[in-house]
Amino acid sequence: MDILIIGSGPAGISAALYAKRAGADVTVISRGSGALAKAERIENYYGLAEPVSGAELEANGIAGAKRLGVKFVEGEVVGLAMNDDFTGLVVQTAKEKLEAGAVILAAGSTRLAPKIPGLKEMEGKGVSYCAICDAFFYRGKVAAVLGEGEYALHEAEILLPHASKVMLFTNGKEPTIAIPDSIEVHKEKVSAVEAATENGTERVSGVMTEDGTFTPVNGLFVALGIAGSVDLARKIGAAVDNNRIVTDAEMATNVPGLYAAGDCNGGLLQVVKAAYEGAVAGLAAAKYVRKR
Amino acid sequence: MEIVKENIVAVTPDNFEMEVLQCDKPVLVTFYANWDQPCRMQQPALDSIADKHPEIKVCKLDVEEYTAFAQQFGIMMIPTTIAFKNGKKVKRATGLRLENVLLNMVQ
Repeated sequence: MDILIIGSGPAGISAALYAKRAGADVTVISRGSGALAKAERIENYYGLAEPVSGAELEANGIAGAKRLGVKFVEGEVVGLAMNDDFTGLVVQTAKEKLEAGAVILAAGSTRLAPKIPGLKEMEGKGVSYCAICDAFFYRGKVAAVLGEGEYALHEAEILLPHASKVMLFTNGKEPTIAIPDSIEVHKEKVSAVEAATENGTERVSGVMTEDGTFTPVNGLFVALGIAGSVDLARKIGAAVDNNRIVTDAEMATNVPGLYAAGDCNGGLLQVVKAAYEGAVAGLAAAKYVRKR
Repeated sequence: MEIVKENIVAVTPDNFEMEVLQCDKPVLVTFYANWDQPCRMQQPALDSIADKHPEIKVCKLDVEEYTAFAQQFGIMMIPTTIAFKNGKKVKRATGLRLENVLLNMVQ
């Protein structure tokens, strides 16, 4: 396919409309409603004589894109990578791999990581956000994943062939999917990520849970909830600054063929801004795949 | 990162002391692996710094080849960039970073 858009909110749908009208073959993948559907009344958007609910605006957006021939697939995206010869991008969902000439990240902004002491402080010293990048460091060691769903399971499965043991800390939640027996599940709430200094270097030493148990681990991979645009950007090497994806005026990231639009780019968290960025990204991505 | 430009030094455990610790210029060392996509995407920023800032020495160290040596620096995530001045670690940045962020580490 030409263009795969992740997210079906105002940024993703605007991108789809403009890319489709520019002649590209466009597919939108989403996992259901996002931030817009939660807005009760929208009354600051152009052209509305009466307020409209976010859910209605979103449903109309999707219906309009379908009318133009945009394809929709339902699925949860858990990974993003370049293809083997670096000519396209591969989106990994819980069920399949989808390859596209260009990808537009429009899955909204990620919720902030929970305020667990040690999580921020130990980033890069055992706390990681990308199993495919850093699994290498856990050969013969104990690796843990913080999360409870498909995304966490995907990260854990990447770690399995490397680590001597893989654990899942669900932070007080029930896993939303079946976890294989090869992964040890801890359901207690995490109270701290502990560190120890060894030969002058500080490293993660274990996870403390609220029941007072200390579980020794060598590293913790954060994969809470669903993978957001910023999580996916990090995995493929798109520049992220202050939890926002860094883009140029055409909404292009530093990764060829990868664009980002809407809340994940920071700034105004508004429909009008998401729609604008989606339109720019859709046109730029269509131009990119035409030139390929 | 397969192509090492002439103005970027590939450091090893053998030349680390001379190239990094004894260097009289500020040094940026990026710990990387060839197969890692974020490491590949970090390369243009390193090239640009090496081209525009002769007063900074830019180095890279392959963590796959020198795993035990990288562990001495507590590297658990790639890319990780450490800034050295007068033989001492001054700053550390994990993950892919923008050119200006890397520059600020040694300025």
